[in-house]
Amino acid sequence: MKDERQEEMMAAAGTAPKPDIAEAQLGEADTWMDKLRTLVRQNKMAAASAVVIVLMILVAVFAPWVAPYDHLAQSLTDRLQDPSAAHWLGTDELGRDVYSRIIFGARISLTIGLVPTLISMAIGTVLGLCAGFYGGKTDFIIMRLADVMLAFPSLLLAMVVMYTMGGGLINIFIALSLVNWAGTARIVRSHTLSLKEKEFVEAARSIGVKKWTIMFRHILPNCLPSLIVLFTLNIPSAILSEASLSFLGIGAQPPSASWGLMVVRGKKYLFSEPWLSIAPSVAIMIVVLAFNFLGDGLRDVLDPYLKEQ
Amino acid sequence: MPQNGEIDFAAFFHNSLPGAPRAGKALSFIMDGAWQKEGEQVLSRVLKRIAISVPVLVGVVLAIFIMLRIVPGDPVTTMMGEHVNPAVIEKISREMGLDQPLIVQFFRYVANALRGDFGTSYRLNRNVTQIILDAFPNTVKLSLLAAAVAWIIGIVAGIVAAIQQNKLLDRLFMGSALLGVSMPVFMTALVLQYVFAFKLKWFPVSGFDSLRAMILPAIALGWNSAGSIARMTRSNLVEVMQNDFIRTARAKGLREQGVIVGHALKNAMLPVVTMMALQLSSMLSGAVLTESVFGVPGIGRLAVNGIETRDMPLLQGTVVFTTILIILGNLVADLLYNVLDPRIREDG
Amino acid sequence: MKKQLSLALAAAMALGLVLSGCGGGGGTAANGGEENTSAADGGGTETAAAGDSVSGVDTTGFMVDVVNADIQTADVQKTTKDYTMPQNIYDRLLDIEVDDAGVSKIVPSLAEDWEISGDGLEYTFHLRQGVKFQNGNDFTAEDVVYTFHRLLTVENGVNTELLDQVKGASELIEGSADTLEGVELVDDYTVKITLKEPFAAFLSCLTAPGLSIYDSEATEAAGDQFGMDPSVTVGTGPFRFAGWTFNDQLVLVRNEDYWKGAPELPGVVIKVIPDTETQTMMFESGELDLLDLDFVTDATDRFLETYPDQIVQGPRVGITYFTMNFNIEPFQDVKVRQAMQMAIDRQAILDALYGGRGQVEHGIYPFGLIGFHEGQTKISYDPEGAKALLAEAGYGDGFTMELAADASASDTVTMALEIIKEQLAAVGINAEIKNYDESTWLETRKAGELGSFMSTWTADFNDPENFIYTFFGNEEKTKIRSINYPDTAVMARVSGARGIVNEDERLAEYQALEEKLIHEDAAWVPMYSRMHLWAVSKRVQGFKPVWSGVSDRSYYGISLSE
Repeated sequence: MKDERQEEMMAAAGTAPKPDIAEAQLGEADTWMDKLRTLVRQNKMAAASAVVIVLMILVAVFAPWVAPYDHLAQSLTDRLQDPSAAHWLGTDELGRDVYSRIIFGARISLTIGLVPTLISMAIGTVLGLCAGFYGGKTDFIIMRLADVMLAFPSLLLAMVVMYTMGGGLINIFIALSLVNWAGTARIVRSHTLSLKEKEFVEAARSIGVKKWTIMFRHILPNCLPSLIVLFTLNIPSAILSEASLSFLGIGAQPPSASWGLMVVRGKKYLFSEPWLSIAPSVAIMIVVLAFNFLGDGLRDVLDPYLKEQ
Repeated sequence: MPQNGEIDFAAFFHNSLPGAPRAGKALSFIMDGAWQKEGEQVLSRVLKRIAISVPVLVGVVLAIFIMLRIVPGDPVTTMMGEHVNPAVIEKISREMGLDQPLIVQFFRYVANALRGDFGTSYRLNRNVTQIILDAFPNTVKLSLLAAAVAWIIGIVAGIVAAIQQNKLLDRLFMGSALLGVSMPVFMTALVLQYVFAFKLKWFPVSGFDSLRAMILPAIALGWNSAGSIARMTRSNLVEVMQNDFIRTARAKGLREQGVIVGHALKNAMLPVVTMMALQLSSMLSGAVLTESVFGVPGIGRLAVNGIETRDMPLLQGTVVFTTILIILGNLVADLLYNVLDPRIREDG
Repeated sequence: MKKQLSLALAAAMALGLVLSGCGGGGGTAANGGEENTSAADGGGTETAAAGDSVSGVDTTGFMVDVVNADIQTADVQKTTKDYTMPQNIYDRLLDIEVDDAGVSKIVPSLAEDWEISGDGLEYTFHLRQGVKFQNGNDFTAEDVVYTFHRLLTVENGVNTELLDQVKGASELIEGSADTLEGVELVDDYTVKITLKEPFAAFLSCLTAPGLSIYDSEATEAAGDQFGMDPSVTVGTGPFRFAGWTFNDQLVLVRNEDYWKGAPELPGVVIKVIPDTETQTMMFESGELDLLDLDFVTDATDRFLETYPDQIVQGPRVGITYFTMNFNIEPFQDVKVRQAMQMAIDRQAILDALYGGRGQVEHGIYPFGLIGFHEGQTKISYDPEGAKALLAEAGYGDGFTMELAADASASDTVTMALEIIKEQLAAVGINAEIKNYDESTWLETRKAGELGSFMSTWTADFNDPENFIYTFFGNEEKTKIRSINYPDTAVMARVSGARGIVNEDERLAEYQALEEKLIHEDAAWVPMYSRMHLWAVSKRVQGFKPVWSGVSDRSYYGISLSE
């Protein structure tokens, strides 16, 4: 969910970058590599998390080659089998291989993590830039809209959206995007506010560079470090939100199996076939923790405030 | 920084990071009695904050209202189900004002809501306000207990992690605090229930009628926030420990633990109020799930009831009510913080 | 395996707690000393506290039951489900009794006996004397007249169709009459009911929970609080409605003056717990005395293994059916419909989803219903035969069809659709699952435009009429089920059968119609009917499932051994 992390992310992403850093980044093209190196050197956990995430993504992309079975192939005679050499994580209530379903589930769950986060952050970034840059009425309207969105408990808002539109993957994307854009907008806005007073922006303006060019060429790049941290930290929230929606029966729809849906369906067999719910739970946990550790690591490296130490 | 005289939220959040210099200032600010001089400014600030909250409140009601009106299908048909004749459906639609234009319905709803009337539930045939008020105390109890759990786990884990920064203990504590954030809330609840109520029998499996019965739901809900608090405490402490005045304190011969715990708690307590209000939102989200698992008759359950039985007035009332609660919580926290932390005034 | 798991989990969680600063650790340790108290003496003591504080009733020694969602109201004229409260608070004119072989018959209740005129139009009921409502009022004929009048006129009323056949019912609903012409008060203990036309299932109708008898005085005084406020909701039944905390619990207390004799149970607490795993754990920890295993379908096998002596069962009296919309290509073709009947392995689905608890059905009337016919033509699973029929019909290469899933349906129904999809694929039919939200699903279905779906019709009252007339009674009925059965001559017979006065002739006609509709015309795929199972705690004695399609229960006759 968004809320519990909102305040923290805002703090974490560093709302007011130090001027010297902001400008320093502009000139140095190689700092990114430096930062990566720092990350690997300083924070082994974050580095390991990055590896885990990359592996997960590879598994998701190459699911058909990695999975030992077709994740949709039922076999009613092999229902609810214990884990074995043939089925590493046993079979589910329709005799489908749980291990294969988790591998294919990575596709759906990672998509659920990535797509709404990208959409909501894109919306939030554009609106935040506009609000900060234009100020005045534009700012007021956009920020009041953001206030409205942030006032809702995120899960309840997502529930209302899903109630209106019904379950399904696309609707989850819409619900979670709608719920999450406001946080990004606020952070980008405050960056923009401080950046637009800077000399390089003034200079660009004075030689007649177009407003949109200034916004996207000069201001946006300076928001990137915060956005990257925010992005990393938003993904796990989206994955967990989907699981919660599945629990309420308004999430992903079968037979496509998100991890969240697998947990929800599997938990009915908690007492007899616990792996059905525990395996996808662990999958969720690994991904969420990995993104969190990576986000923390990135913040340490990218956040100028902490970097000074 | 604030435009149009309002407080910039993002800056506000940033400022709410506890930092030792700030705490020091806040203390001297209170001790000097300087806040009396600031009284007038604070009052105008209060009024401004209230003024901004109003359009947000209206926006919230409008947003919910619109979202729920674009539901496909006739709500009355859905609500009545199989055994009903069309004449009855028409009659009920009329009585509920559903045949009126949307804008009329909206103003009617707002007017009623202002009088504290959220309408009548489709399914339960009772006043939604009354249903919500009956359920409210349970959610409050659950949230308060959960907040306590979150703070204890979060701050302790955060402090230990900060002292042992980047060492094994840091990872271990942060890891276990994060465990609560990284599992779906309903799974955390279920596993807690399975282990501590079902297997170990320390608590009843469900119910909410005694303190003992409330502990597990509170942990399940609070653990989720504990991770956030632990991380915040840790990063703040790491920052604080670099500060000169801590070095000074150490140089003066104070034992390290004493230094850290003393200053850390002081600094962690300052934004407690703010965090509480902010956590309220996440608590209420989490309560939807925790209450369902443990069978707590709270507000979260009502939202689920609303979804499951497609009871629009109930869902609408619940969401509007919780949202108002959150806005009010933020407002109060904001104002208290204003009084406590001089930085905001200085920046403004 | 299980033990190890729980140990591992316990260790992990304990570690987490200890490491993270004993968040709840203090509390847990303090309570550790008195462990098992709640488990040992069941839910009684646990709930006692709740009862005390909430409804002012001491619930010690009460039986504890559970439901997965709270009721809407205890006023049965305003709800078409939630029949547990009506079963226990009120009585009806007649009742249904099921013998051990599962055969049901109609028996007297508030009506002691009755006469039916030769033309099947007039029913004269002689009422039981000396019956009192729980508030002390006498039960008389006036209450019957009042109840039936209220059913048709009360605001937000449902269940009106139970009295559709009574003379003057539609006039009263539409408002062109003020009184219900067909219900006549003869004297204090005699009521005469006149029907519009002969309707053989009328006596069965009178056993339906929807026709529970209310006290005219108390109900009128209670207004819209009747059914909502326990203190004003009275009936003649074995239990009094004593408390209700929404989303938490309902409390019933024994009616000491019950006319059949006071129940042995002092009372019942019905907990409202939505989560199925919580219900399971509550039962296993001794916090529950009764658990409807339909709430925890997927754990039923485990219950049967773990508590073989604590399972009670009875037929569900509902038929699960799979539709084929005659208006959708290619289901106009009887060969295609027959192929569908043969292509779905119903036994496999019943086995997979319900552990085979129930039986595969071949018609319209499920096992346990009057009119159920053992000797009807059977449909057998025959994918090769299905392929051959499809080829004959010109669909040798198969076709694409829709499986309409209702988002509010249970996971088991969704799973059944997933299995059906696979089975149809085996004969070359490409069935695509389409998810609808509940209201769209319902509206599309009522418009007659929904693709194939699977659903279950459970009996409102014990008569085949309740099944065949609902789906094939006339053009409108078959349309709103999205079947669109076209043969009006057959539907006229279905409608006409309701008026056949001779019981044997009537049942014979219903059997012939079933044969025609399902076997000749393949109007739907009959799936299965299920057994309804309950788990009871060791101390529960004498629990019997009520005859009913819905999952309500009667607590009369139960006792707790202690």
